[in-house]
Amino acid sequence: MEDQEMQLKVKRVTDKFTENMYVLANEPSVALYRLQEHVRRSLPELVQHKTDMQSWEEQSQGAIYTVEYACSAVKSMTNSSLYFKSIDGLLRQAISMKEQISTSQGRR
Amino acid sequence: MSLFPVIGTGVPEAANGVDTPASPGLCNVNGPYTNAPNTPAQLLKFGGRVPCPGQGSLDETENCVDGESACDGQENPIDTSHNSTSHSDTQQHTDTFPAHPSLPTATCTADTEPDPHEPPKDMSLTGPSQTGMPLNETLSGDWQHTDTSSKDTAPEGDTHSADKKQSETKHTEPSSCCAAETEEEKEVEEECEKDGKEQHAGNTQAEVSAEFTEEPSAAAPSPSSAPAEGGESSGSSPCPPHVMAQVRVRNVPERERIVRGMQDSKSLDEISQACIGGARGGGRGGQPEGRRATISSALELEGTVSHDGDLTHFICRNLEQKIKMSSKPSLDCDCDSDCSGSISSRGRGSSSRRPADIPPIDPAVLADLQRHTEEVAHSVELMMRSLNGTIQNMTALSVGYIQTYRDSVDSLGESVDMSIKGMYTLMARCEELDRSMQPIHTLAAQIRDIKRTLDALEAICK
Repeated sequence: MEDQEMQLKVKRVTDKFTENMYVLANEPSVALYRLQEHVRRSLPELVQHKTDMQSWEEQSQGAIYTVEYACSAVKSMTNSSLYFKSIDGLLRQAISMKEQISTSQGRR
Repeated sequence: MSLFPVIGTGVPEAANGVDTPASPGLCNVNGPYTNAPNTPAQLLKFGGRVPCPGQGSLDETENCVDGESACDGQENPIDTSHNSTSHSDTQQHTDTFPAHPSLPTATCTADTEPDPHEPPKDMSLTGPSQTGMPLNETLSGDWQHTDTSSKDTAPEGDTHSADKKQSETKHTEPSSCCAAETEEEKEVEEECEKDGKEQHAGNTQAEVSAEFTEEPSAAAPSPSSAPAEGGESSGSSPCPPHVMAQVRVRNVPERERIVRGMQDSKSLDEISQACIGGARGGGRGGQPEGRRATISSALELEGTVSHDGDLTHFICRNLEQKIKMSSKPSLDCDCDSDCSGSISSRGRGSSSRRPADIPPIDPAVLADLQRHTEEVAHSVELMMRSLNGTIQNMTALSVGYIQTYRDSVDSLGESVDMSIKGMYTLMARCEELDRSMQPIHTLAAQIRDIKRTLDALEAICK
């Protein structure tokens, strides 16, 4: 009788104690696991996004360089207007000279 | 200002009866001797100083001479306030104060038979002893002679009772340790002690005087004296406010204290004391307080109750048996036995037998208990330590996880920032390019002109 009673008492005490230990040890464990789970799930997406971003950035950088080159080319093209003007002048002179030659041959 | 008959000058009074500096050195402690009592009873009250004969100086002689006349004419009302304190001082200095040569009472004592063997300490009384008794008996510092002297002076005391009322003080009373004191005297002394040194010409002097006047009839039973005193006290003038209590029959205040103690205080100490006092005083604890009395009496049955000042001690008898009787089986047995008397008697019998059935207490129990407890504590500590380590590892891992997550998030943010920056850069470049395309139109026009001109030249040249 007394043994059973003592056992009951001991069991009750140990149950309470283990319950406390469960609570004591499980709550942070569960919390840490949840944190890890979240990180584990969300990290690849983040990396994917980062990769995409990086590729887009490369493309944009390419475009930037292209535009920059084009911009420099266009700027340098405006320098040829003088030459076109002189070309145009020379061609008009050439036309005038030819007309003079042709008129002079017609008179002979 | 009281008249000082010895030197025939007035002596200023001191509020507390302290001897004023203006007072002559003739009366050192006793102060003015105008209140020198006429009777030995009064002598005992005042505790004046009696000089030793033979120690006289010229002054003393002169004082003695003057004192005679003063002592002879000693029937004037006396200022007691000054004397009371002076006499109190006298009482205190009784043993230490040497014979003062300038005591005027030397003359008074000269009338009587001076006792050469009278030690200086015995100068406790002033005034003459006109009864002719030797001063040894009346002027000893011991109040034990009060009765005899009072007896002798009873007739005179009656005549001078009026004077006593004004002259007697209570300071002399505490010093009275008359062996033949009655209970009333004790109570009066206690009351006087209660009043302390705050001294006025109290009307309790009337009581005291009445008491001392009745000392010749001290052989009478105390109750008879008590009502006489009560009557006298009641018949006397109303007591001053500082008087705490009157002379009463002994049992009455006891009972009052009992009732008061029970009504005012519920502490065990009060109850036990009150009950003890009640038991001694008459055994009547009062019907409403009978229950409380039983509590105290129950305690006394179970052990010894003692009081040490404010502490109340209770020594239990047979503690081991009581512990055994309070154990669970005996309590269950008692609980079950409440239903019927026979069962209760059986239960009581079994409970009475229980202490014998219970095995003797093992003295090693405490050691075993301590050892087991230490083991359990050690196990708990180990478990906690391991748990702590495990949780620390898990926490470190989680910290790594979170750091990695933080890094990835940071890099993502950086990449996004870079993309955004590149986008803005591209936009800027395009805008610049667009701006730079404006002169191209003129160039295009120039080129068209050149082309037309060239076509014309080709046409001419064909």
